[in-house]
Formats: sequence, C-alpha cells, structure tokens
Amino acid sequence: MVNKKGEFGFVWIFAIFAGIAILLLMVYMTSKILDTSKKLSDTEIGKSLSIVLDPLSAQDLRSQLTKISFSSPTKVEVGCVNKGYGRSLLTVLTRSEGKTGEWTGGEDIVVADKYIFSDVTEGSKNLNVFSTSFKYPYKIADLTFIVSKDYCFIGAPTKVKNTYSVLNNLQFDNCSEDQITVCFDTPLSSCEISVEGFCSDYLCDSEYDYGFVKKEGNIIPFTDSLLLAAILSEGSEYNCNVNRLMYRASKIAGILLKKNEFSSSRGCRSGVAGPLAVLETGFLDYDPYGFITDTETILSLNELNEMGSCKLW
Amino acid sequence: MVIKRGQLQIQQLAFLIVAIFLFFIIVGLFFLNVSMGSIKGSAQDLKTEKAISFLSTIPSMTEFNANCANCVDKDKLKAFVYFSKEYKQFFPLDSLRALKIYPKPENFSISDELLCPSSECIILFNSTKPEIVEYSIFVPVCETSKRTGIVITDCEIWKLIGGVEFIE
Repeated sequence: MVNKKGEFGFVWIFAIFAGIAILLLMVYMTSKILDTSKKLSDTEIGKSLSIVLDPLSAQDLRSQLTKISFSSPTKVEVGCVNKGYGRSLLTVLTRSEGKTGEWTGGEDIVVADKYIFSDVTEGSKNLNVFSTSFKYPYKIADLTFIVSKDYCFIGAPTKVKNTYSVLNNLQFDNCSEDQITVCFDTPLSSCEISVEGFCSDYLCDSEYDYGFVKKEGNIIPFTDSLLLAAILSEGSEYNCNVNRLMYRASKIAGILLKKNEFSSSRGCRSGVAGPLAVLETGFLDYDPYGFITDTETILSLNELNEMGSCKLW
Repeated sequence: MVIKRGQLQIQQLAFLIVAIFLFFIIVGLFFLNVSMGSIKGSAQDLKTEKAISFLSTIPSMTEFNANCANCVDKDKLKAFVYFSKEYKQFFPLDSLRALKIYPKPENFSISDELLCPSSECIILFNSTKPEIVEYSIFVPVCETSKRTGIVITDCEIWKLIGGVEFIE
C-alpha cells in the first residue's frame, strides 16, 4: 500500500513536469511564431515601400513630392552598400506594443536602383518622400529623399527656393525655434548648417550650383541636387551614395560613347566624345571634392552637347 | 504485481506525452507549410510588382532615354548590350529584350518567329532559368541620323519585355 502510494506520487510528479515542459515549449514557439510574423509583415512593408518609390523616378519632372502614410508609427532606416553599383538598404521598424514598446524591424530590403537619403530618426505615421534628378553633366539618376525633420533655409537663392518649395517641412526665412536652420552664405551663429556656394561661371544658375555644406564640424562638397543630400544625410551615407552615383555615371559615359560610335555611321557625330572618354575613367573612384574643381567644366561640357546638332544626352 | 502496474502507468503516460508532442509537431509542420506557401506567394507577387513598376521606368533612364519624353534610343539599346552583364545585378529583372512591332519587322525565321538577336530584336540580358513570367510595355524607339545636313529622327514602335523567375 505504501509502495503503491509512492508510485502514484511519482507518476503525478512526472506528469506535472512533462506538462510544464510542454506548456513552456508551446509558449516559446508561439512567441517565436508571433515574432516571425511581425518581422514578415515589416519586411513586406519595406518591400512595398521600395515599389512605391519607383513611379517617383519614372517622371520627367525635375522634382516631386509624395506623402506616404502608415497605419501605425513607423521608422524607416536607410543603409548603403558601396561596391560597384552598390545598393540602398531599407529597413522598416514598427513598435511591438503601445508607445513605450521596443522598435523591431523586418529584414533589410535591397534596393539597387535607388539612391536614398534620409534624416529619419523617430517613428512617424507619415513620410515625406521627395525626388529630384541629379545631373553631372547628363542625368545620372533620380535621388530620393525621405525627410522627417523641419528645416528653415535662410537667404536661399531663387533656384533653390523653386526646387525645394514643394517640401512641406521646409520653410524659407521666417524660422521658428524647433526648425533646423540652414544659412546660405550668411554665417549666422544660430545656424546649425551653413552652405557656401562657389559657382561664378556664366553657365551657373546660381552660385550654389556647387560648393560646401558645413555641419557638425564636417565640410561636405556638393553639386546640383546633392545639396539637399548633403544637408540632411549623414556623412557616411552621403559618401556611399555619391560613390554609387559616380560609378553609374561612368557606365553611362561608356553607353553614350558607344551610342556615338553607332550614330557616327549615320553622319551624327558628337563633339563631346573626347571629354566623355575622360569622364568614363575619371568617374570611377571619384572624390566628392572633385565637385568643387570640376563642376564648371562639366557645365561647359553640357553646353557643348546642347549646341551640337546631334546631342548625346 | 504492484510494481508492474506502476511501470505500466508511467509507460502509458510517456506514450501519451510522446503522442501529444508528435501531434503538436505535425500541426506545427502543417502550419509552417501553409505559411511558407503564402510567404512564397507574396514574395513572388512583390517581385512581379517590382518588375512591372521598374519596367515602366526604363524609358526615362539615361541609359535608354532618347531626346523626347519616354522614348528609347535605338543606339543606346544596342550599346547597352555591351554593359548588360554588369547592369543585370542592378536591375530587378531576370531577363530583358526589345522587339520591333511597327513597322512590321522583316527578319522572320522559317517558323514565322522574329529572329533574335537581330536588328529588330535586341536581347539586353537573358535568364538562365527556362521558367520565367514575362511582362511588356510598348515604347517609341527612335534613331537620329544626319541626311544632307539635316538631323532627322525616325521612330518605331517596339515592345520591351522584362521577365522574372519563379521563386522555388
């Protein structure tokens, strides 16, 4: 009888321990499945976002703005890989629970055909996506800007105002305290970022066709629409995307040279083939400081192409 | 006899636990299989969506664009073939070719199919896999020439066909 009681007790203890083990395993597996499905959903949002950005570069418009809304606060992290054509990496992060929850993200979405510059550090339900083309001297690509902070440009020239006026988180001259101030050749002590322009050629639209952006103790050279990229993105992200852009510019120069070969046989020969051959090799491993020394030559090359009867671009 | 009954109870319980465990594993595997199928499906949908939206951006790319809105330059199409190997990693497409549609092409094979590659069919890059889904857009393809000092642009209608491989 004593023996029987002892055995009965052991069976119960065994059953309880086995039950607890199975329950714990199930709870663990359920939480893992929930995590995976959340990661999956964030990854799908990231992929959809990369698709939504496509029509922005399909237009011949110089610049345009699109507002993307999410159902819950979403943070978009942008990375950049610099090797050859390189790629942008998009990661969408959402909060797991309430407002205090941790930000968790999906897998990185590889976007090879986009050049994305972003200043997003906090989650938001709306994203302002601005797109504008980058020319040097021909159009290389459309740049995509994901802008979340508020900026105020002081003393910006008309060309800059016209290009960026569509951005609704950008104001000109009448600044409020919570905005990031960007000064154009007016080195006010209150400015967080200052822009210095050097373009003096008759072909320049404004002196800010190329120059330096000074922020957080760094000096960043820019040309054309890379001005906004230099203002809002981090130095490493900027340099990585500039390298990718210039690598593509080199390949485009190669295609244009080949095109010139084909069209020459039909009597259409361009006068810019020689300089283009220089650009094809020169744009590989291009130093962004070259924007300061080369932009005026590039502008005159564009002028030469425009004057020709058979334009290469 | 008492000891044997106890052992039997433990064995029964152990079998029950193993059975419950196996049941959950089978249910889990079934669930995983179903969800993996839907993941593959949505990945294929997203890949297709990306390919279609990218295809529509091709005419505006400097690599292809002629000096008119959404026109493709015939010389650039031919030139692109020399760079296509590198560009393939950059494009979200697994194959890309361009076929002349109008005026009616002349380079037909015996089986009445357009000869490819030829002056009327340019293969920009090919897929290594036989099973691909293809999507197409119609584009004006233009060519500039200089005749008796006058620059003339001739345009034709071509079809750009982009393909995406199936996700296995």
